[in-house]
Amino acid sequence: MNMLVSSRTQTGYMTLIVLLLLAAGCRPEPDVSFELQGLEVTPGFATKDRLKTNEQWVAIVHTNLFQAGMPANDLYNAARVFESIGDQSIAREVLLSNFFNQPDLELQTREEMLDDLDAFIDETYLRFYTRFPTQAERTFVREFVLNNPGMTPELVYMSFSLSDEYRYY
Amino acid sequence: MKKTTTRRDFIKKTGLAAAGISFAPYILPSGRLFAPTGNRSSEHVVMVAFAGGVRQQESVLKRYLDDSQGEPYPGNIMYNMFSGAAPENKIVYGTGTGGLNPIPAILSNSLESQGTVFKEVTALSAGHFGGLNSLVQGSTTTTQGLKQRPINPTIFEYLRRHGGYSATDAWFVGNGIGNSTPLLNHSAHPDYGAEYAGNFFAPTVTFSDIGAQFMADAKIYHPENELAPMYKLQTFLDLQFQALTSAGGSIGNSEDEKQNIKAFMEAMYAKVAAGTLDLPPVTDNGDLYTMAFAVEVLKWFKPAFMMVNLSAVDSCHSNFSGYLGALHRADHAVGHLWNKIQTDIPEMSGQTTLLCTPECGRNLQPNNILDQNDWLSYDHSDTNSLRVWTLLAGPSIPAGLSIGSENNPVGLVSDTMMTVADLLGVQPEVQAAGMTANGTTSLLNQL
Repeated sequence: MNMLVSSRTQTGYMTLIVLLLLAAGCRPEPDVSFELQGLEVTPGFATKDRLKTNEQWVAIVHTNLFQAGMPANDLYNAARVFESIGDQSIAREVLLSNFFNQPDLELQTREEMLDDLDAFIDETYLRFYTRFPTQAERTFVREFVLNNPGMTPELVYMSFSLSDEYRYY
Repeated sequence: MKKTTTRRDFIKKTGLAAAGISFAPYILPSGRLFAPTGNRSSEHVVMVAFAGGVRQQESVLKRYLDDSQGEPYPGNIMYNMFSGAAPENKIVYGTGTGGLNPIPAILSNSLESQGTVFKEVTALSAGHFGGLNSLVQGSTTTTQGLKQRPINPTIFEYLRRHGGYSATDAWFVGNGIGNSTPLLNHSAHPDYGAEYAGNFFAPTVTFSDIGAQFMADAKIYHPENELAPMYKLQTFLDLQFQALTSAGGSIGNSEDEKQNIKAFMEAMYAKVAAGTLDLPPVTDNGDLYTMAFAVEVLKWFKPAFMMVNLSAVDSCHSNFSGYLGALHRADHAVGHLWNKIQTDIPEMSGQTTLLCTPECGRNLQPNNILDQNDWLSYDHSDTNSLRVWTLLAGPSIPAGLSIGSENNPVGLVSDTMMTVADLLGVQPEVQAAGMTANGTTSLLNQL
């Protein structure tokens, strides 16, 4: 009978419908930006309320400067030396100046820093504070570096490493 | 239009200004509002926490083996501090194999003959930490635990807050970083705390090989061209952070003091490397190295107050012979200290008062541990552990005076701290604070 459709034909129609649905469902989502710029979200300093231990501070500053972790035994010994010095701010400063005296620490020159100062400032805030600077901070640091010819990346890093915000997480 | 001043206006304004000057508190250079009310009678004071649990019997009573091992050999093995003949037999406390060679005396006259000894003083604690706390706080509290800052203010904080002493005028030289020793340079008291702390070094760690590994190769920055802008940027960063947090709490060293301490550290690493540290004649244990660095601190900073902590005699828990050797060396260390003050530090010579007090004593009965000489060891937990002594020497201390006896205790361990406060002019403020142990008073009042 003509009214009767073979089961093979039915299966063919069903397959066609499924394929059409799949094709329609797999279309890529249109890129809608609504003319807004992307923003990377990082934690602000308001959330940093826990003081790093000496061991944490040494481990993190070593990683931030050398881009490599400090051996566990060295870390333990460094923390012991910190304990033996009453004024911890002095201990931090002397340790940092020892780090900056090590030949395997690679730092930008002042000229390289000035080539793209805003990028350097952003990178420094991210490296040490894990956040971007506010516009006011960026402006101050930029003007400060430009107006102080002695400010090298080393001294900028030292300021950040010794700052209160860096002692908290 | 020109404003004229009437006679009435002039008198009114002048009167108000005069009243303001009369009632406004005086702000001293130290930042304090008022001068201390006590009289300072000593330019410098050095306190020795001596030296890790000392029995009366082997120290001030000079009984050597006579009152510990059942062997009839008395004698004085602390002849820099106390007067009296050394033992004649069974010598184990000196140098060389078996400790057969006693260390020669440094001082020609014992400190006992130069000063005053309170021979039977009552300790507030039978333990080291409680004892040290009673020496720095003038009290010991039952809630005071290890790994915890002192609950009540320390002598460093009293001196700095009420006496206007700078941070580098108050030093604590510790024997190490164990037993919470580094926490004793300031309390957690809300009215005092870190900003009034004493400076602290545990020199056998700071200036050891591991200390040198991390600290000895410090880069020298130009103070104006490099350090000044670096600190300025740091200040900006700190201000941004402090707008939303309450960070802070470091010792109140001024920038000049910090640079001075860094210069001291650099000099010490150089001296250690060059082998030019001013060591005692014999330097074969940690206490003697600690004292060597304490002397270096005195030479460099000439502080108003320094406390130095010795502890090697604590070997008595398991080695009585080692204890005798450590006691002999602690005496050698004090002899070195006093000799250097009088001969090598002209700014302190003749102007320094020395106080030595054990933080606690040691038991009357031994434990069961025998040492290499088959001598029994002693712990510290019974009432004999609360028996100690205090030795004072200095320009205003009577010479050759002995106060108290075995049956007549006079003084408390906490009196040592109050005596420091008295000598340096802050005793009224310490007493008014009301946080010392009952009965605590200056030993100068008991002379």
